[in-house]
Amino acid sequence: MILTFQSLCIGSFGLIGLFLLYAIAKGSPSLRSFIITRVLLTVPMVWILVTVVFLFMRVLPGDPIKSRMKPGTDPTKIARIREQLGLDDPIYVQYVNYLTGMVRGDLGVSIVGEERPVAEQIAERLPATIELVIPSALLMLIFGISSGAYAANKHKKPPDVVIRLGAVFIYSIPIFWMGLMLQLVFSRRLGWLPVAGRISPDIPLDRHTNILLIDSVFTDQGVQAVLVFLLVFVGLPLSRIWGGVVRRYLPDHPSSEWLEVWAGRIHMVVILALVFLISLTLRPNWTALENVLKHLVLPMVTLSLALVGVFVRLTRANMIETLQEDYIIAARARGVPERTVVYVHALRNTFIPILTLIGLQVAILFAGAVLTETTFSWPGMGLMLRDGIALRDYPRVQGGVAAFAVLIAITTMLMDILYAFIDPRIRY
Amino acid sequence: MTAEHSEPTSVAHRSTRLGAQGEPLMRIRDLHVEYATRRGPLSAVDNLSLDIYRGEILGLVGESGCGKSTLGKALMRMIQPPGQITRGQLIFDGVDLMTLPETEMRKVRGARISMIFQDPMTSLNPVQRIDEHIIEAIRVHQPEISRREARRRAVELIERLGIGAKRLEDYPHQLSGGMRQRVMIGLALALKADIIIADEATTSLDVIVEAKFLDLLRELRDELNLTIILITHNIGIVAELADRVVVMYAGRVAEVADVDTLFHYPKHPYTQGLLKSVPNIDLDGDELYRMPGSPPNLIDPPGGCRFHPRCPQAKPICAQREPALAAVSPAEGEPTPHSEHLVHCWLYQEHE
Repeated sequence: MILTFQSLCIGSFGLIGLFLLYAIAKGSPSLRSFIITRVLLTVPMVWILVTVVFLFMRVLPGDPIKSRMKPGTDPTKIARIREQLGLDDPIYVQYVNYLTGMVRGDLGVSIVGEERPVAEQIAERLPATIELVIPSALLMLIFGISSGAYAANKHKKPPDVVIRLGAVFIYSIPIFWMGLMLQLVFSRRLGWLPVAGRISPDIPLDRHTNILLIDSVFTDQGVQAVLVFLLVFVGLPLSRIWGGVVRRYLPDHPSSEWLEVWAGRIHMVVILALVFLISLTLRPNWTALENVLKHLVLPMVTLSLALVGVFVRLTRANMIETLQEDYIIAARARGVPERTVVYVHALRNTFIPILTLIGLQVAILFAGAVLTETTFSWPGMGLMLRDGIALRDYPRVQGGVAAFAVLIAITTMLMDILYAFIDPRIRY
Repeated sequence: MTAEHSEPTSVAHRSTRLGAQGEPLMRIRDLHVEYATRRGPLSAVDNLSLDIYRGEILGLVGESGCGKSTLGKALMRMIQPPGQITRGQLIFDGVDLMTLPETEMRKVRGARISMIFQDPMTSLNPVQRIDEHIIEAIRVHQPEISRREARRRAVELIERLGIGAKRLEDYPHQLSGGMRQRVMIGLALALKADIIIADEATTSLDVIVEAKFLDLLRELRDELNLTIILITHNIGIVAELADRVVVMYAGRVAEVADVDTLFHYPKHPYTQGLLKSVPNIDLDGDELYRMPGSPPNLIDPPGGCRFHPRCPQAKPICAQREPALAAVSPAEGEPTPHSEHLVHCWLYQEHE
């Protein structure tokens, strides 16, 4: 087994690490120290968060033992279980135990329901959440930014009014209600899409990563994983540095200009070749893929629509402002085509505030995922957290929130660093 | 770099330049520009006709809101809604720009007619490097030029303007105001445009940088035979640099003359007032002349000559009919002007 959820995690952490190293190597000394501070700062950030969650869970009314016992159970029995689970310890002892569990990596053991290490449960549930959140985020960004930019370009014309009002309308719909309505229309009335779940139970599929989209495409997972690895870690960097290599070692060679011109194309050729190679070895499970996609549509649309309004409005507002800037008028006066002016010059400047918002919205995206998963019985982290809260299963909730905290901390950190990269004016 | 050019150009030099006038490079005919407002159309440029000759520096002066900038933008058809060129011809190099479709007009902008903007601090894209700006400006019009060749030209251009090639890799915020202004000139010159419109291009610069900038403009004009339209409300700059001056008032041309004639023998009462309101260190003790009234509301401009409510020499006819922009001959004892002296005033025209 090469392609598993663990290897995916290691791979993505590896990519993040590579990006950070690249940023540290390329950036100015001040940028370097900013990145290092920023990375180190995520540790106390996560710590504060898990502490707050710990305290909130203790303050919350309700009791994990009573929630699973029949009323009228013998108090001595309850006291015994309480002692077994360590719930009668002073709160600071519980806190230290909890932090120990975090550092040990198993995040403690559930005390209600399935009594398994929380880390194990998360590893099972996280792929489902990722499968929901990442496509939703992409859909949200593409849809939000493009329609916002389009509206700005048509400022005060009918398309602008429609998009603006539509964004407010969608934004003001509660997320679960929107989910229910979509279920009602597309599943119950029209019968086009399944109501809930990730995949129909009668469809056989090996779940080696438990991200079902990946599982149904990469069924025979040995060769492709190696090729994907090659593409991401060798092909892309190599094709990227090609132009630099030519310029450096063949500065006056007559063919160097030709080579450099081709560098950009070779970049694409390498990527296409690798993609082609990978696709040759693919044996996708089409039935499963179709089924998974159908299950994904409604939750994905629900989650992305719930958050898209903010992006539409922010992009539009920023874009309208940017389009008034002197440098946009100056670009037009230089004869730059209108499309380039709007969708390259203006959009690139508009992107800077949007990027900050992405970092902030990740948290809301996960919160939305909890609601969406509940509505669509999507067996992810959100559903796990909801059950944990209902049962007052302290370790489960604490562990789940800690996992979210880490994810959010990493994304915000990446956004902050990317921000420094995209906007040359920012120097730390 | 500009030491040998720092003394003012001699009158003789200017007059030879004006003597060599041939066919106008651009003929503006009956140009009307209106802005739609809630209270009706505002006529920012009204029935304006003007010839611009190759190689001249044409000063365009007037109070704020007299339509100078609007005219500058109109020459490139860059009037943004709610503004609109409602009528007129812009015959440039034998072609009426008004008849060109937008795609063809785009090929003129930046390549044949280019513009240096008011504020060099905000007229460069903050997330685009200087070289990217210049390379883009070149390749937008000549896509067959490779990036590398375009970059080589950018280096040449920027060194010609006195900026080290290393600065090409900088972002706009890393350059000083003077450098940015030179980059703006570089962008305007990247494709050897025939006409360069400098719209209040020195307003945001300090006087020393401004003087350097003006020297550079003159030097480039002499070298490349550029035509420069200098839009400014700074009379001093015009006196220093321009060959010919157009005085605008309320969207119309009040007076056109070569710079010496205009400054020494102004004919239009508005020009006379304007020149008297310029602070001058030689006039000790005298209070600065203040023209009565303020420029008219262009949504409902006064009939006849638009200057008549403020004119000290107004006659009954002035409120009734608009005068023509007609040539005047010099009065007794005045030298012959170097170019045609046109005045838009009833004082110099026959009427019944």
